[in-house]
Amino acid sequence: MSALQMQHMLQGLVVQRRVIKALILREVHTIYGDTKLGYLWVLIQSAFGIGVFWVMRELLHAQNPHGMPVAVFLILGFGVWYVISGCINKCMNAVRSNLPLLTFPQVTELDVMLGRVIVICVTQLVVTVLLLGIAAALDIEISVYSPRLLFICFTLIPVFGLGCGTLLSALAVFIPSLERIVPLMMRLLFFASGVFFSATSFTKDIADILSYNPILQLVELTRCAFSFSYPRDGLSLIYISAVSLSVLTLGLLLERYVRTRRQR
Amino acid sequence: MIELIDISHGYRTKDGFHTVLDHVNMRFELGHSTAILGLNGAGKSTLIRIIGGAESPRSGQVIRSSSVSWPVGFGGCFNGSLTGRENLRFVCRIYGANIKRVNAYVEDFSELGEYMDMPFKTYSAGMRSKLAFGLSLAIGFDFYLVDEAFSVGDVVFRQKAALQLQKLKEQSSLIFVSHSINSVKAHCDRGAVLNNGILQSFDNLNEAINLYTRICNDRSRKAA
Repeated sequence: MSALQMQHMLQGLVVQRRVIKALILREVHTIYGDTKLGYLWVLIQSAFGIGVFWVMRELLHAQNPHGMPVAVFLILGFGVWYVISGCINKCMNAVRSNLPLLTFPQVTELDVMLGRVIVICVTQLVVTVLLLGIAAALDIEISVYSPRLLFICFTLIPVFGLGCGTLLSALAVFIPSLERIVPLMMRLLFFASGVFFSATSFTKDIADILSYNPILQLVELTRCAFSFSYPRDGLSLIYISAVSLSVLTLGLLLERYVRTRRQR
Repeated sequence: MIELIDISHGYRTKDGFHTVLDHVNMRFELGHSTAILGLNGAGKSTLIRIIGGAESPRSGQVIRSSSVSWPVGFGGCFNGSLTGRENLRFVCRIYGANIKRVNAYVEDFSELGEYMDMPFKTYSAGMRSKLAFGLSLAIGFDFYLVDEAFSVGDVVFRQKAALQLQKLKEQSSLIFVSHSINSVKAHCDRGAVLNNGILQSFDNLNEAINLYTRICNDRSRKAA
C-alpha cells in the first residue's frame, strides 16, 4: 500500500469514527430522549420480562437450574436474548428509519447499523450489570466462575448480533417479505433459545436438536461462565465461534453487495 | 473539480430493469456553475446524489478533487423527530465543524427563531430549505449541490438566498437543479440536459435551455 493510500484510509477511519459517534448520540437521543424516565425504561422493560418468568417458574415450582439462582439464570438469559433480537430488529429497520441521514455522503448503511448495535450492546450490558447488582443486594449469590469464558461470550454476542443484522437486512432487499417473517421467527426462537429454561431439562434427543441454535449456545455458555456446576453438554465454543464469524463475514459482504441496489 | 466517468445507474423493478443513468460522462470545473435540466423523473436527483456521494452508481467512477456539499434542498436530509438545532449538531459532528460558530451563523441567516428548538417535522417547506441552505453555507464547500431549494421560500428568503448565491459564487460553484429558467439564468453559466438517461452538456447555457425547451414542447405535444 502506498503512502497516499495509507493516508486516505486513515482519513476515512477518522471520518467514520466521527460519523458513528454522531449516530450513537442521535440514536440515544431519539430512543430515550423524549420520555421523562428516559433510560430507566430499558431497565424497567428488562426487569419486567424477567419478573414475569420468575413468577411463572415459582408458580410451577421449578427447581433452581443446576444450582444457579433463578434470578441470575433469567437475567443472563434475557440479557443475551435482548442483545441479539435487538440487533436483528434494529438493523433490519436501520436504513428505512435513517433514510434522510444517508443523504450525507459520509454516512453509510453500515455506519447506521454499527451505531445501533453499539447502543444496544452497551445499554443491555449496563442493564444486566445493574440487575445483577440489585440481585446481589437482595442477598442472591453471584460469582463469576470463568472470566475468560465470560469475555469470549461478550465478544461473540455482538459479533453474532451484527452478523445476523447485516445479513438479514441485506437479504430483505431481495426478499422484502423477510421483514414480516423474521419477527415471527424471532417469536418462535424465543422459546427455543433457552432464555427461561436450560437445554438439559429436555431429553437428550431434543437437547441435541436445540443445541444447533447459536443463540441457545450463547445463552448457556454465558451461564456457564457464572457457575461451576452448570452443565456444558452439547455446548461448543468452536461451533459458536465458527457460526458467529461466518455469519458476520457473510453479512458484511452481502451488505456491501446490496448497497448500490437498495432503492431509496 | 468533479469528474463523472461512465456512470450508469438503475433499479430492478417488477417489469424488469429501469435505467436512470446511461453511461454518463461529465466534468464540473470550479468557477463555472452548471444547471442540470430535465423533466420530472428524468433522474436529476439521482444524478445529484451520485455526484455528492450519497449513493454509489452501479458502474462508473466519480472523481472529486474538491469538497462537495450534500444535496441541499427542501427534501429531507434531516431527521424529522429531532429539532433543527439537534440536526445542526449532527451535521457539524459528521463534518467536524465547530458547533457554536455554525449555530450562531444559522440562527442569524435562517431567522427561524424559536423554531430552531422544534422538531424538524413541524417545519414548513420554506423553513426546511432555510435551515438546509444556512447550514451548508456555514460549513463551506467548493461545490454546492442545490436541488430546487429556493422555489418554496417566500419572496424575502428567495431574495436573500439569491444574494447569498451571488456572493457564494466568488469562491464556490453551483450544481443547480431547477425548473425555473429565470433562476437558472441568474445563477449558472453552463448547462446540461438529462433525458432518457442520457446527459448532454453544453458550455453555453442557452444551448442547454433551448434543448430542454424542445424536449418540454415535444412532451406536451404528445400529451395533447
